[in-house]
Amino acid sequence: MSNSPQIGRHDELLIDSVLFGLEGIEAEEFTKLKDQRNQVNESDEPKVSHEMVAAALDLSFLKIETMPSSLAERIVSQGRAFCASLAAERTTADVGENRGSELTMGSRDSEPPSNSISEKHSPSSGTRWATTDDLENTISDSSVSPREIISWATAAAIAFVAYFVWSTGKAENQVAERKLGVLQSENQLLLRDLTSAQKKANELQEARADATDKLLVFKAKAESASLELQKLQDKLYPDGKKIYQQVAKSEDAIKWTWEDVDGKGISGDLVWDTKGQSGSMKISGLPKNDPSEKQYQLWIIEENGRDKPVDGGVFDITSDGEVYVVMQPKLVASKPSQFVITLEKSGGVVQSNLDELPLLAKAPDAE
Amino acid sequence: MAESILQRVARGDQSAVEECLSQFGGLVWSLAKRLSKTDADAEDATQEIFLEIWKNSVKYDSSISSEATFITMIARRRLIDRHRKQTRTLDTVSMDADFNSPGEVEPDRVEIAEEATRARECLKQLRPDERKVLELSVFHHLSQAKIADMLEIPLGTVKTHARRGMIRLRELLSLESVTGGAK
Repeated sequence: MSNSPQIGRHDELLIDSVLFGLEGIEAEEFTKLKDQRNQVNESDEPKVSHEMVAAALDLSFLKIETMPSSLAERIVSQGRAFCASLAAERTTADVGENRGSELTMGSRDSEPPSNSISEKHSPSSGTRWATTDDLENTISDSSVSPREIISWATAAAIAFVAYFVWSTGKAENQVAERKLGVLQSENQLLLRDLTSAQKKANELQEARADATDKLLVFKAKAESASLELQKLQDKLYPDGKKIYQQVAKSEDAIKWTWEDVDGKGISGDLVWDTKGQSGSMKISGLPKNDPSEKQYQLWIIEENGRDKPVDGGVFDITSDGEVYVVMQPKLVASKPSQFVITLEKSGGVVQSNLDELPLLAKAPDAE
Repeated sequence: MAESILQRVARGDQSAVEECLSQFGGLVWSLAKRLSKTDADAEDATQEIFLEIWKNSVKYDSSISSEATFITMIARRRLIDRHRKQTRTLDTVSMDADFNSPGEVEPDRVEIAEEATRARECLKQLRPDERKVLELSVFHHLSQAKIADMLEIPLGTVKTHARRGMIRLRELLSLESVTGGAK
């Protein structure tokens, strides 16, 4: 730490860039710093750059393997094409110079031709390039027609440019072809992935449709089960009010009004559907009973004068105010003429002596 | 001084191409292979690097660096660039196959071997922690964050070690080239 060298931010980033490469904010910062240095013209680049150090380091670590021969062949042909393009480029330039010298010579016919050769390679030593004037002079002096010269030069230039473009292009084409190959194989892999993904998506969609169907079946089953459950619940624990409302809606139902036999302020009515053999009573003011001692019992008296009234079931009054009690006749009551409520011993009786008879409903007048 | 291979390439001498391949092909291939996930990728990279070498051959100056260093510089630049484009993060460098310490260069390429020996001698003069960071960075091409993880030191310390080590190495290598250690 004691003899740490002072490193500027530019050098810090330069080292990071040659070792790790730069990205994002640091890359931007580095570009800015480089620009600033260029503007101030700080050309204190040392002989050994950081990049060279990293390269030397890399060399020191590297285990060298032999390149595959097929790759080496491709690179050699790429390199040859590059050299050929360089040669072509130079020939183009040389020919340009030669033509220039010849044309210039045309206007300086006093000089020996040998001079033009030495001058050709040192244009700074006095030889000048052909100008329009020279060309015009040539036109007047030369036996070759200017049109021929121009067309020859143009054709030659085009030919060399074409050759240069072709040969440079060839080297780059090989890299491009290689890249194309890689891209094509990547493309194939992607297509394969896509196909399998699509297949999977289809399978999933089918499975989903199947699951939806099953879900619907289950829902339907659950609904019907819950209806069944409701029916059972209704049967086990009938809701008097609900049944009263249901029966009241039925076309076959008739409403009967209770008569307060002892004048104790008991009121209410009942609805009865003979066809459906169901009904419910609405009663207000009937005193609460102690079920262990006594229970209320409903009787249905048939019009046709059957000997015994039909037992309509026992029930308890557990609260003051209006109560609803479901009627549960033990036998079919085909033509009731009266409904009677008696108070009997707990559990009810088979035949009542009608000692305590608080309520009575006679067939309505409408009947 | 005899004309170098790269100078001949720059002149358009086709025979120099084959010499360049036989001399430096293994070097470029090994660099490319180390920083590529697959052999196909390494082949692409090698072709790209050689194309760069042909194009830059005209810039080669034998008074500044050896050809091996020049070619390694071009290769590294290209490879770091490729690597960053491909992965966006350097952390994904495969650490499976041979995560050993770097080995000795086979002495069959004289120039490369000389360069390597020189750099190795200079490297020995660095502090061990600086040397380790540079080795992980240059040879295994790990990111700064990954090196910090591996050595269990803060990221800032990794940067400091890397930068100090490089500065010191540059001084040592410059000294070498002045005192005639270089070719």
